[in-house]
Amino acid sequence: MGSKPALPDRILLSIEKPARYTGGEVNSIMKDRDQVAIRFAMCFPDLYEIGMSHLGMQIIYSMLNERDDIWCERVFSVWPDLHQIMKEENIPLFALESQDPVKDFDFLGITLQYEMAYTNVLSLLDLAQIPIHAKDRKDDDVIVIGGGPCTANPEPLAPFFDMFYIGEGETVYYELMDIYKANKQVGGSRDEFLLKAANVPGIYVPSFYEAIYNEDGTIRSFGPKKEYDGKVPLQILRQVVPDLDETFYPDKPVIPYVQATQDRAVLEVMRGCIRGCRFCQAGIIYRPCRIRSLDFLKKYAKYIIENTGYEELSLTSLSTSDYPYFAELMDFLVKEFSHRKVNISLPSLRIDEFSLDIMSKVQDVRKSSLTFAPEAGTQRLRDVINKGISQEDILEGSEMAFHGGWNKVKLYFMLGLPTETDEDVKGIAELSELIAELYYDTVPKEERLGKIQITVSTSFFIPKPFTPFQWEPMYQPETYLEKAGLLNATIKDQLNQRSIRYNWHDAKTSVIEGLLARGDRRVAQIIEDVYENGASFDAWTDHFDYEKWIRAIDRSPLGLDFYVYRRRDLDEILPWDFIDSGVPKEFMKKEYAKALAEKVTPNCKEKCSGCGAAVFKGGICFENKN
Amino acid sequence: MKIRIKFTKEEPVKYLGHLDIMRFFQRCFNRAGVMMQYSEGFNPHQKMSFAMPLGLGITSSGEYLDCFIEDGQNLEKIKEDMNKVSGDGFRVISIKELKEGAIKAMAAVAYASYDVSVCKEIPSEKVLEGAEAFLNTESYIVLKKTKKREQEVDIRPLVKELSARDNVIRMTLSAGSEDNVKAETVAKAVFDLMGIDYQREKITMNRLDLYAEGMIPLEDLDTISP
Ligand code: SF4
Repeated sequence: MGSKPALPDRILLSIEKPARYTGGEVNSIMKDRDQVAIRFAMCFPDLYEIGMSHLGMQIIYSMLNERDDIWCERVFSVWPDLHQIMKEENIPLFALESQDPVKDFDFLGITLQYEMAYTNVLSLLDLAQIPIHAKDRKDDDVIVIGGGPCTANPEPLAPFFDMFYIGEGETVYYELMDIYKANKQVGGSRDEFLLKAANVPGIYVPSFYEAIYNEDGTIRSFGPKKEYDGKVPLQILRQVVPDLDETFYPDKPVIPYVQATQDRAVLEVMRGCIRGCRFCQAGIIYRPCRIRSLDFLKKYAKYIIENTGYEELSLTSLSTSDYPYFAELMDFLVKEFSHRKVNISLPSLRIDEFSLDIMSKVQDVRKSSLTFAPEAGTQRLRDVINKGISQEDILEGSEMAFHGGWNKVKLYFMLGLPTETDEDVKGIAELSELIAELYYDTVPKEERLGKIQITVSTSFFIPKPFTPFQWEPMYQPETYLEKAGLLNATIKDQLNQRSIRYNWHDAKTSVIEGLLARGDRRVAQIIEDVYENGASFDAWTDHFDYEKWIRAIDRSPLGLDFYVYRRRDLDEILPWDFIDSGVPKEFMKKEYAKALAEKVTPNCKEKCSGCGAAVFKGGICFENKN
Repeated sequence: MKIRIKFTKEEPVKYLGHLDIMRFFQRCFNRAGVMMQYSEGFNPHQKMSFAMPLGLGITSSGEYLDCFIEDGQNLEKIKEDMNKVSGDGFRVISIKELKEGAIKAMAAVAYASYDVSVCKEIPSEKVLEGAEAFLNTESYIVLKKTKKREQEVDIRPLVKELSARDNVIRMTLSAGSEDNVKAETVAKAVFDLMGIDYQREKITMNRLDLYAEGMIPLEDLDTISP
């Protein structure tokens, strides 16, 4: 039951990987376009291979398609080679399943997973021939709705979206669709629909709100425009699923033909995290930590493997070792799947005796590496960021692993964290050196399988909304590079320098990401400007053009000094304050103060800190009470 | 046991590359519950090989894949099960067991047949004229570009059969590892002889089948009839 391709053979033959655009994958869903009431285009604003790796998109796709009156299809960004051809030949962006133009749909949902995809959002609206600004869209134009983690602060994209869905997608989409249908049936206008939608919990319609600014550029007030006063909520409550077992899980995910970056079945065991690292946005906005039951996971693991034929199953969560039934789950998976030759992959495990034992069962020890993410080089700084991993943990874990035959270690750190000194930076090198020395002390010469290989990677700290560090400044790119330089030199000065490889992220990208993460709606102008000057695929190192960004920033009234390099006042109104994440600003302030005092906060399992997320009535907050 | 699968590759999968097709089959076998044989090692993989690569954008009614499965499975049932969980455009036509010592499909291919459909804007008499002109030439020289150099090749002897009807040029071409010619190259020659400018969008191509020496379809070569 294929669709007539939107692109002729002539074009498909002239571009890279044409199968990105032809659809028809196994488990993709075809419906009769005349038999559905709502057509929803679900878009991941990056390349097919990236978007198809994303679980959240598959969840919404299957959830919406469960309903007979909705046909949800997929859309991805178009690589520049095809983009140019489509622009020249005036071919509008189309959805994969029906190959129909997206502009003829009822909804275009765009998932915002990382800030560096923002220019792609404009690029695809433009290619879809949809007016870029929400205010220019007419009654029969598609409703553009944004979702995903970046809606923690949607303001930099405010003018481009009709609405944002703030929070987890499983809660109010059906309700929103019903309102849309009812409005359409009575011939209601776009504005009427938007107003009704604005009253659905979690739905934010940016055009109904406005910010008033102080002379110095900070926000004086933010709230509904006068004409909407009393008609729309003052605060948007972030949506959180109370019980993950009660929600939708895609048991028949679409299997991409073109190899996706994550080319495997994915089982989300938990959402959220109990640990509360102070730099981590996911750790706050996905509170409380919620688990899926063992029965649920067993059942879905089987379904998914049977329905996809994947040869690999990956368990995902922010910290899989914290899953309370991890041993039972692994036991089941190994028994169930080993004869079917299904590999189990286990990212984000804490290294201890137990996890090493499991890893040695499911991975090739000689090829796999140990991963630690201490994030900071000294205990002092780890206390500041509340990263509950100590040097002893790392050394003990490593020693056990060396005995087990591992000789590759990956270490992840951040540079530029609040209160960081040169000692903290050098501490990264010293910790790496200790691990190397430990290897040579532990493993006798005749048992060594070559040198130890340590890879140290650093990213630059980017303060994010809804974290205790949301007020913190960033450094200039040069300062970041000096820090990376200091670390590099320290590593090179040590005995085992030849066993340690060091790589660091691009400082300029980090600064722009910092701008987009904490910007207000005036930053939209910069995004538009840089897009008009040809930027797209900024998440791709080869495509990111810092100079273009700097030129656009220079043309705007407020620049990096205001948005990135400035320490915000604790009492300042932040652009995302109107979102209620369940964790009040007061808690963040307390955590911030504790960070500066180098005091740690126990994780949710040890002791509840009363962060506020218990309002969502689920998860860890109710597991270990009494 | 070693088996040979004949399958189609039609819309919408004609743009899938070789590795994409391989992954598709690997997972299709798994979904259909076929017990495969695996290579040794920590990352065991299914052993399979295809007869002959097919250019992107060309459909096929006769592709071949050789692979190893555990003994004692019913081939007819495997075919049915695979077709139940297959993707649009992929259909298993036949599965046959191969004799001990059978030549690999890849090594056995000697000829390939194609239908090249010419767009309706060109009158069918014209196409017929071009096809006849091609058949009547003694030789037709083209420049063949390899990675290193260009070489003159006479493609006329590489065309075993050629006929035209209703804008469809049917051709059987040499497809061995030494002597071979692409359907598009022959189509270009026919266009040239028609005196019409060739463009890729003026034709669509469908591979019909693959044959070993003696024009034996691969599905009948060294296979054990059930
Ligand atoms: S309320 Fe307590 S247990 Fe629940 S997420 Fe907050 S700190 Fe953790």
